[in-house]
Amino acid sequence: MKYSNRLFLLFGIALWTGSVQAQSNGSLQSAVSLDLLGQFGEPFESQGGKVEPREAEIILFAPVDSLWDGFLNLAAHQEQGQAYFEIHEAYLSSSRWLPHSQVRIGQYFLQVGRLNQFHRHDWPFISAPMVQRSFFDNEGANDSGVEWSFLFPTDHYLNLTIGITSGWRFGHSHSLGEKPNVPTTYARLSSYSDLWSNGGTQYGLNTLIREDASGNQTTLLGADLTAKWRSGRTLDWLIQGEIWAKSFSTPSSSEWSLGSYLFTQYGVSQQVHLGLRLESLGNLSLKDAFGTPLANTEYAIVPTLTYKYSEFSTFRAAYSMVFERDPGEKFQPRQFLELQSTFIIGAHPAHDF
Amino acid sequence: MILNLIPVKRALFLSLSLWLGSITLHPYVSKAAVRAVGSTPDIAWLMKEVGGAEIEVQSLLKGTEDPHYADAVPDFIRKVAHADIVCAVGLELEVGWLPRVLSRSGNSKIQSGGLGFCEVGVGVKTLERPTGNIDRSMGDVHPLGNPHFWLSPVSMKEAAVVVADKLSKIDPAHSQHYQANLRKLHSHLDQLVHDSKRVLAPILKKNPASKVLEYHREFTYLFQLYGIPTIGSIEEKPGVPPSAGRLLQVARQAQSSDVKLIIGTDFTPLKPLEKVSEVSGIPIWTTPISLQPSKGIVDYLNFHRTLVKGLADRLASN
Repeated sequence: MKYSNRLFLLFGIALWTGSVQAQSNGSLQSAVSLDLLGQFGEPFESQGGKVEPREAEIILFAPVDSLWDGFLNLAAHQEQGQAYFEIHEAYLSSSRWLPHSQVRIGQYFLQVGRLNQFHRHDWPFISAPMVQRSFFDNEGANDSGVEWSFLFPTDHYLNLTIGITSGWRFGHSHSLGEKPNVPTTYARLSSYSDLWSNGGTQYGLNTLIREDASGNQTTLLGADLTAKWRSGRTLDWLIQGEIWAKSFSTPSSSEWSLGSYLFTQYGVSQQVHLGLRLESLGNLSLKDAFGTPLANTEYAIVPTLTYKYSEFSTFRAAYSMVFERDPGEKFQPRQFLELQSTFIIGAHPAHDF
Repeated sequence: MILNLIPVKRALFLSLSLWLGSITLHPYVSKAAVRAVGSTPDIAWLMKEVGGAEIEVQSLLKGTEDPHYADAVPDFIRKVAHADIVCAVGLELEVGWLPRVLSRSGNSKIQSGGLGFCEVGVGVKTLERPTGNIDRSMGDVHPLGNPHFWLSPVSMKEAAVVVADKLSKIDPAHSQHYQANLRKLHSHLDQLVHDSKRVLAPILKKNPASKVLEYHREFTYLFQLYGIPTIGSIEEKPGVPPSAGRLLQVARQAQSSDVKLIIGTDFTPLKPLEKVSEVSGIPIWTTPISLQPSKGIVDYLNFHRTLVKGLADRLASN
């Protein structure tokens, strides 16, 4: 389908949902989000030097019946100069089926780690950290399957999410992928504690095991932490970080990689936020011919300025300083600037913690 | 000696079972018939007054937050997961976070539209209900009217009716008890209004032209109930921080309109208030607008009396 036809289809669906919403007195909720991105310098993606839509999403959700809620997320995005229109998420969800449980069935972003749980336009920074890009994808791990979240009936918040997905695809893909030998399985155990002065922190332990069609096995182990301090309308402080270890084994070899990021953001006011992201990614198993470990860890520093005019529109600028290197060699720094504008129209966006 | 008689593995298994059993059953061990959650401390207080000994109430917010801008904090999800009834202010005040809290709780009883969910705002005669086409170019407008009704005891009476009806439905065995508590609460709130009017009336009579200015329309119901003249809010559009031009304009308007007091909440951004005060010379007063159990503000009747007295004192001295 031509891009113009796809956009026409997208536009048609948007109009249709608007009219359905009006007719059904709001039981079908819809939202449209647009993410405009400009990259200048030497960015990772090949669309540098211009500002254009990175992604447009149409999100529809409503109760299907007395048990299920339906959720559909249609996305159009640019990739390597090509335009794609696809279904990002399409699933049934229920909080009314099993006690203390939320169940999702269908295609969705896997609830492991922190960033995977949010659409990219809801992140507190513009682009994915190196560890996310390398271990998951530019946006997140997406697949079809079943996911069950269980909230332990305890005095302290303790939530266990487990999921099993087909494993045909992992991360962003425009093809169906290949049938793996075993499905992908994942789990996340998370908790929450209040902190001083209107603060709180959520922390989780995560694991994901996957085997592709060729028998290559990936095991991911990770921990994430998010802490927020809010006063009135201002998010005073946000601290968000993840650390992931990845084991990748082929029938003949295996290696471990380690990556992490830490993002700290200070709220100058209700609308203006200053953030700084520090990140690293390295292969722990690289050795030279004599068996000596080869230094290969790469780093990045990303100061970010955010201006949120309202809950519905955000402007962001980030300056990335990336310290790359070939194994055992010196760092080769490269820098680039990113400008982003996102907005959402339609249903009120959720204030997730 | 006796420890040696119990095999270690069995002892460990027993301990683990007891621990798991205790954490699993703990939330269900409740003397009250109904486990209730209010979205704010004020709504939780209302529920406790109506429910009496038959209910056990928790609040999600602490009263120090702006209820528009709260997050779906995981601890809220835990509280709601064990509840038989959840009552919110409604009128879209908690639209950003409460639906997410409910859906993540895995509690079928308190989902929106369920028997255990209530929005007390549906029973309140709201003010500033917009008409015509409403969209976000008008700011964060609430289509069903201003949701900050809880500073008016009259509106709280209306909200209490919704709570009593809901409690009677989910716990019909104690319906008469709830209705009796409702009547008692109505009488206390009537007395509160009567007393408050006696405090404010002489001051308003002495300075009939004196007006007040608020930052966001959080005090509108209070002003309307006691006949306190106001020139509106510093915000031009609800939820949108005022521009420098707007601050200047509203400061001049306040100066020429005999405004005696600029009023904000304890979470209102101070800079805009200070700017208007600096230009106009009018003093600022910030006050809590919700019960704050962590600071010992736990009783709505006392809280309201303190609020009214604070307002009266400042109007009298300016």
